[in-house]
Amino acid sequence: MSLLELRKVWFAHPGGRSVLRNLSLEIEEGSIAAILGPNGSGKTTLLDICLGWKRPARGGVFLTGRRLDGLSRRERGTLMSLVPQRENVRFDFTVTEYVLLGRAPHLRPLEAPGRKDERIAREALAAAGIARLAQRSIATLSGGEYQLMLIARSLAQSPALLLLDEPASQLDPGNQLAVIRLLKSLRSRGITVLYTSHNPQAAAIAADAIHMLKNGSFMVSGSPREVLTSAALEKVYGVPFRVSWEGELPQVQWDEREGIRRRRGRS
Amino acid sequence: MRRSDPRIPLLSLLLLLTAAASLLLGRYPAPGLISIGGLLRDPLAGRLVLMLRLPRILAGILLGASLAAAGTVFQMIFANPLVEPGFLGVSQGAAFGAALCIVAFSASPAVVQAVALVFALAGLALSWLLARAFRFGGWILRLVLAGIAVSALFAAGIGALKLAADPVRQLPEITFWLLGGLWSVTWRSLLFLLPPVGAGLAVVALLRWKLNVLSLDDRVAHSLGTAPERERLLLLLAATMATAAVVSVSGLVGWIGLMVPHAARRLVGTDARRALPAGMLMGALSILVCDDIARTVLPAEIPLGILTSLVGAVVFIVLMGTAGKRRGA
Repeated sequence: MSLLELRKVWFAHPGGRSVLRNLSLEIEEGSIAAILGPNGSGKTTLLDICLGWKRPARGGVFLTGRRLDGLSRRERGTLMSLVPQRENVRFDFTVTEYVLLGRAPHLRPLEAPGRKDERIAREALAAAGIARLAQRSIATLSGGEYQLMLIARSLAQSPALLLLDEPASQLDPGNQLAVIRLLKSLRSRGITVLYTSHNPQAAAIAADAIHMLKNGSFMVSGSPREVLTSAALEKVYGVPFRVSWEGELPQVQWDEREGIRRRRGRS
Repeated sequence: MRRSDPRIPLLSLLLLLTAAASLLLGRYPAPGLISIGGLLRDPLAGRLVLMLRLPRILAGILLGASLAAAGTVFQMIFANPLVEPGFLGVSQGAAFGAALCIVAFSASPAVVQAVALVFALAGLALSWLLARAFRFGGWILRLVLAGIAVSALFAAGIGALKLAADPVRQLPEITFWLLGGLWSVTWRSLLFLLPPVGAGLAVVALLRWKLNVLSLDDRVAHSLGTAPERERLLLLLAATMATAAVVSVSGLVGWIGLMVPHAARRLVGTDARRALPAGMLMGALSILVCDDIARTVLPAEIPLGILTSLVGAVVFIVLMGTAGKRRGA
């Protein structure tokens, strides 16, 4: 059974053009899936629909086989967590205090986190590889440390499904690799991962399945080898791509010189 | 991981000592402290302490604790360190109600308090309705804009009332009310304060850890299994109810609700489990000290609002000028 399923979802912003069109998606339990697409293709909206933050105009969202809007808020919060693309935390929590907020859906309405929650928060920090930052103020963290802290907060939620919005797009190569290795280690712990990316290479090296989004519907879905062809990528991004494989590891790069040459030729 | 802070019991002790000292401090029979022996020998002094100073001190504690608690709630819910508890039309509403009462009926303090409370709540209700009618921005932004608009409306009304007031009898009274003070507190007004303040503070105290969650972005708070709008609304109503009640008795006492939450976070950290109780204690302490000065230093009472603004502004400047201690950094 798939952990998350979207059936024929339509969504439009109030008074605006439709963002998602007749979109269906199945995420297998224990897999890493990537939603790949250019800016503005509807990736964040798609995550918001999965999260229940936005409601589809038509179609249904199912989590563990049950309708999402039939779950209680706390049930939903214990099954699924979100790492947003950006989060401005305006107050100067310590890293541990912030990560503990991930325990919210597991607590009764007036309950505050206790020893067990603190232990889980410590484990989440260790899993994200930032145990050494536990007592630091979050205002002192670097961009990479901050991103790992957001992931640690989501892990403290003990979710079955982790949603990440562009988890590596604002990081330097070293930190991108750290995040990707973390995502792979989560899969081995039984956590299902769904993340968005506008970068084909970032999708290529981590995901088991890639869903390529263009104008609100999936153009292709499948394994990286099936999806990442230069023809499909060019269709979605509008620039030429070069794709090469070394064993299971792909190298996807857009051909800047060829792209510029063609633009010139057109004008 | 510290869930509580050793400085909180210390602050409680300090508050207790200050309250006890405040009981003995005053201008009768002479400016300064009265000895316990002197208190026992002088029946008038005994009655003064019991009937005037004690309710006034208790009201001061409630006022400071409420303003600081509401300030903490507002700053965290709106994720904005610059808001203070009166800004949803509550302070200006209460002031307008009081001024109206003084001009139209030349009423007694008890009536002024009751009418001020009604108008404080009316200010909140009006801000609320306007925010629902506005068609611009998100819910929080609409609420802030509505609060600004309603406060401005009431401020205009206060201006008009001041113009219409009898310059000899009524205008000084209005001015004094606008500057804030606890001179009118009696046991009766204290009893009148207790239910709304007690209920409001209880809700805030019970939900204090949730404040941390609700200071995050709406979408993240939603993903953490909360209903951000509904829970923020509950906390907002509770905090505003307490504020409206204390302000209707004390008049406008500025800066405590804005400054004390900052100072508390500096002292014990951001986590509202510690920052909220610490802030309430520090707010109560600040009001007690300012009120002691207000009623002791000069033969005529100094309006409390002048002192809290003065002390608050100075502390604020010092606080902002010194680098915060970064734990573990």
